[in-house]
Amino acid sequence: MGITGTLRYDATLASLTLLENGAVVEAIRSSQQRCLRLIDDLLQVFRAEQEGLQIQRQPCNLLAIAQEALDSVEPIAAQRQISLVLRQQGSGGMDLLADASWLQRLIENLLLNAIHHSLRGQRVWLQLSHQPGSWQVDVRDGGAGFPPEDLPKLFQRFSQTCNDARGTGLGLYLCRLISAAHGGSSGLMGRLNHASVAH
Amino acid sequence: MRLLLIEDDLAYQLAMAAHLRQLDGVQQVLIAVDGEMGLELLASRSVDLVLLDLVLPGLGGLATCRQITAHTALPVLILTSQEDSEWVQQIWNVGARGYLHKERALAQVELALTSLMAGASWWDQKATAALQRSDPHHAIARANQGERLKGLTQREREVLACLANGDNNRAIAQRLGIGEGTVRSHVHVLLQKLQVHNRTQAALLWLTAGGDGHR
Repeated sequence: MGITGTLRYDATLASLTLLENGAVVEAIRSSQQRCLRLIDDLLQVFRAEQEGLQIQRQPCNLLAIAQEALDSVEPIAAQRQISLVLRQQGSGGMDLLADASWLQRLIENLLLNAIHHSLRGQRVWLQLSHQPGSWQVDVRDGGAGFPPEDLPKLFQRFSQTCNDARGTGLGLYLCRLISAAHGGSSGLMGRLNHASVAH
Repeated sequence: MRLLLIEDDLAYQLAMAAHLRQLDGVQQVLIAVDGEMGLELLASRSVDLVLLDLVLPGLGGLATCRQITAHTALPVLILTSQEDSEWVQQIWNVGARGYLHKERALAQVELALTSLMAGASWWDQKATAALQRSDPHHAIARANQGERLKGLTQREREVLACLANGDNNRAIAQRLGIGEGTVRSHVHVLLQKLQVHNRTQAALLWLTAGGDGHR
């Protein structure tokens, strides 16, 4: 790089300092969080495949976990004016024995996938329901949905169905591992991502 | 030069926008974090060139590019972290005029912008080789181009010649003495007749098939 290039880069830095520090910090924080989540998905999948996914069941409440997950991804949704709607179907209890941190991760990953595939301004629905012996988490988005031929590929490692998708293709695969470790399953029908956990 | 930068990674967006703003000839840099927001801005603001991240949420980079190039004559420069030659073909298919690898973008963007504003493209040696490799039916396609051009009416040929000249709808309307709505309609029909996705591909088809010689 010549002198001109160096001057240009100095000018770039100078114009950055003119911006509010808060905006710069927020931009860096947001980018770093995205990278960290990708790295963490990768690490967790790697570890789960080596040692099996280790879960520790404790008494917890699915509704409270879902609320935590919503709070965690809400800033990402808000950036694209996507509203998140939580619904509880039926009057069944939401108390269960499960690994709360893994369940939160499962719901976050389902929500992030839905947010990513939704158009600006659309809604994402998170619905919780309880059947005898199991709990169901459904996430529905307003995206185009996946073609039927792609459905078997989803929830597999490194699966990316659209060519300009972001991420490692590990988020939904991790959901499958978390569901399975809780004696449940996860899958997708049209625009609906679902996962279940059992006693 | 008025630019629209569509990029969802806030840190990269901040750095690139700051870099663009201090380049000679750049008067304005509009920012969008997804394709939907970018298309909205294009509908209401005047822009000369679009820098578009390939990997975007929602509509996605490829579909956004296809929409921009199908409805406007704006040059689109893709920003990507992909090196795969398959991507070059996809970027080409949606009508982009070139791409910059994100790692090299700050160093190359000024030259790329100048190139696109002059009506040229920005495909590096690697991309050009990838495009040539990925088109084994090039000769056949070329032979068919003449046939497809023959299906155009005289007026559609005139509109296409203007497109190939880099004119926007308003300029074409003025040059041919017709309304802008009529121009849009002619463009829509001729894209279908030529079986291409956007204006850039139509213009290239015209130019590679000999341009004026087909009038």
